[in-house]
Amino acid sequence: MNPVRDMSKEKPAKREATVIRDLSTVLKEAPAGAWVALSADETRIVGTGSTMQAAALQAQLNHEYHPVLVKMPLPGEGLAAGVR
Amino acid sequence: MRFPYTKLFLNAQPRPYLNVFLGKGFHTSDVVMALVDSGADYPIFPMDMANSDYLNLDLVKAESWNFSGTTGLMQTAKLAEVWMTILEPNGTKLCEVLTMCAFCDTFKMSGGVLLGQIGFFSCFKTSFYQPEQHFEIEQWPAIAV
Repeated sequence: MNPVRDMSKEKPAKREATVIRDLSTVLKEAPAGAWVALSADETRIVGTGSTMQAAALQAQLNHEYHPVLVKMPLPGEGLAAGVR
Repeated sequence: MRFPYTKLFLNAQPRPYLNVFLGKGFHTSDVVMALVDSGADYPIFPMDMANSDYLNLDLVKAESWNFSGTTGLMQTAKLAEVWMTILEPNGTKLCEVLTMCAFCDTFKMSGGVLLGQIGFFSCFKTSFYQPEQHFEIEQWPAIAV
């Protein structure tokens, strides 16, 4: 007979909270499906475009020479990213 | 090195993203946000990244790689060996690895870039702490530069 382990009185493992990197507010006005260039400190949008080059060029015109690029989703788009 | 999960979009789950850039010779790309995705076989970047504005790769004789995502549609990418630099959360360089990446002109995904098995997980021991919303990467000793 297998022993039964009563876990009801065990304390849950202590979890260390992590502050997530939340860019959703910065990106909320970004156009759907576009490439977006963020400032190096990721606090503002400095460029957008249909290609990453277009977004980066606009960033340079806004005097941001080290942008961080990200592609926006289409409206309502979720993500199941397995690819092979 | 520990990284917090990133919430990119409203109504989206926080996910494990890294800021990375690529290099080949004297050419480098801009920094892009890349999703750490164990379901992808290779790191996948837009073909734009390989073009003359960035890495200036000659992919004419490069190996082709066919893949399909959740839509099931077959897509073709070109494989090339490049340097990939991983940035720390504060933006400083953590490390760079010589790795194989795929470049595809039809790849469309939120965030834009995936980091997959061969080329990322093969280089970094990666531990996810989803309930705590962070993940950790550590370069495998055998390939540390």
